[in-house]
Amino acid sequence: MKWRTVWAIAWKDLVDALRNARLLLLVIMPIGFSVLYGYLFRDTPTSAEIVIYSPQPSALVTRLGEMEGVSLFVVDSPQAVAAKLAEENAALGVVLPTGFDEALRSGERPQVELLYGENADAVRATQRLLLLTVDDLSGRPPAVRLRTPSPPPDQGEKAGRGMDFLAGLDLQGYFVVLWVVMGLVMTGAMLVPTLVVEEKEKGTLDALLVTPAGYSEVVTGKVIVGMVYALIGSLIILALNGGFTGDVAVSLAAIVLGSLALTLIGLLLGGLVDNLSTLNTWSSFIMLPLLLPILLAAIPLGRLGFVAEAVKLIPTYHLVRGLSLALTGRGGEAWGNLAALAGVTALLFGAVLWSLRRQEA
Amino acid sequence: MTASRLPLPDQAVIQAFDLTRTYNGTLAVDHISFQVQRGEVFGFLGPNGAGKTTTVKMLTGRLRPDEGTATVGGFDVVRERERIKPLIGVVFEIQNLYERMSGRENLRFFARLHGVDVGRVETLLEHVGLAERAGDKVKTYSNGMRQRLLIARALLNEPRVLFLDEPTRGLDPTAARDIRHTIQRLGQAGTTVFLTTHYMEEADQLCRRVAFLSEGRILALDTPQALKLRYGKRRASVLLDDGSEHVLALDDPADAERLARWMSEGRVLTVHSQEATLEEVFIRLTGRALA
Repeated sequence: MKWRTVWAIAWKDLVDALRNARLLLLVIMPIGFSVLYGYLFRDTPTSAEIVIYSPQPSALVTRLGEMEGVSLFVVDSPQAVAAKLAEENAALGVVLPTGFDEALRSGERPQVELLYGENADAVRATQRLLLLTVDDLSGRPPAVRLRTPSPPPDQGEKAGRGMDFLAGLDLQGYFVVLWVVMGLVMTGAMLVPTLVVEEKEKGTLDALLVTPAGYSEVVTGKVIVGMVYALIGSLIILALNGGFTGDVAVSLAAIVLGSLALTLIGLLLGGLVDNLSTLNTWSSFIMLPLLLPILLAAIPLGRLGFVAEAVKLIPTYHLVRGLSLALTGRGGEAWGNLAALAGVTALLFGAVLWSLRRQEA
Repeated sequence: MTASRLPLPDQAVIQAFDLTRTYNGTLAVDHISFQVQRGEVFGFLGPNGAGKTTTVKMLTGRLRPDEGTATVGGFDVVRERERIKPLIGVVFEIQNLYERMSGRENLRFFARLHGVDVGRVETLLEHVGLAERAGDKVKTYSNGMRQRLLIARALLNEPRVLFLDEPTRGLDPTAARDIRHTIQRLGQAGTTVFLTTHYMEEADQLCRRVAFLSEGRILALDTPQALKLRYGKRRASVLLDDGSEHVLALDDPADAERLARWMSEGRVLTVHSQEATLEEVFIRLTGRALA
């Protein structure tokens, strides 16, 4: 692999994409929608009832107590949290560990136990408020690890949602996942193959291939461009919509693996199609199933719960689940999804290599 | 590895032997063999679909021959494709430039791919007369300007062999003349040029030797002069004292007799010999015109 050549091709495409209104739109659109939806559907709780136990005085208790609209019930034992939660019909019970503040200050991630109230919407909104407050106190998310002995109120198929992982994710969080996934899918299924197919259609690929650049250098350059735009778009969406919360490392890992998998899908598509009008048709066909996991996650499936099972075969399901869990501080449950994404990426990489060998033969 | 270090084992820079390629069951190139000498401007002539571009694709390593072998600069076009790349420059049949980039950006990008000093870009822009418009986007260029930029791009790596695929197609006469001048200069400078065209006058003007290609096969290969002598009709244009003008076939006994009679009668004012054109030779060989 000639890396100087790869970089020259990638840089050309990075700059050229900025001059191409269509490609620019693919990158900007999800960011724009995330800002619009974040504004229209922000659900900062107007009132939140929290029961909290802290073995020592804590800045978190002080901060929550000072917040307008937060009713804070401080109890004197971990066992009293559950009783008070039921008595006050509060949204969230919080048990802080010993040395919580010092652990935050020293950069550790102390484990916080959460107990859930009955009202699912209030639980989601209050949990998000709690996480944002802890992140703010520590100054660098992810600040805590969450332990939840009982499931959130609307978890599982009992609620007919089909997608258990959405529990604990409020509307704002859902939109963060939606627009990140939308951005990655659009970059993978449309931007990346456009980069390849435009070279084929305009004949510039032939011009590249009579230089010392080989097909593998051209393709690697396109992967870099796809990854760069996918990651930039995702990071902007996270930054603008409070997405740097919960298990940020797991969120980033899911985004990196997801963007790589989708970029490789785009490359395979670009290898099969020779002109942009055919590509547009195929991209639309491919985008729909890739977006299905995040779209279905918001729909009560009722008797169609089996659809939720089928959706698990789509690679983006693991991206959606991993990201949702990470945003709600339950990144520890997402390792299986990250592993699945890594496996799919490895398979796609193999397919791209096979396709490359065919092209170069 | 730079082009200048590569060995050129003998005088034949391009050698093709029994080269064959089929497209969807149709024989596009049918067992052709030829050699191009170092420093030669070689014309590959034929109508659309004759197999010219397919041949160029095989010689530049972009298409595998089904049968036969070919070498460029002594390197096999299939097995040693990567070693051929530093040796060649290609001007494609289509104007495959990055339209949203400027002329200068196009050349700088390809200079990086070739590992060539970007300073050469300015020299080449000057050389092809595009220095003043180098900063403008290619989509604002005329066809002639684009073609000159393509030639500059093909020259970036100072190629030993330049493949020009229909370089003047679709250009206005002035732009076509400029391109021909450039090709002439390259030929005089010792660059081997493999020129495909269906403009016979262009080939006649530029090429030391030409090959006629029809339906994938080479019908004739020689210097334009030799081809015209071998296959063309010798004629003379005769102006008589009564102002009438006659074209006579010198190989036709009846015409020869008429000319002898007019001469003896003292009626001939001027006689001009008329050479056959390559177009006529092509028609004679294939039974059809080029266009």
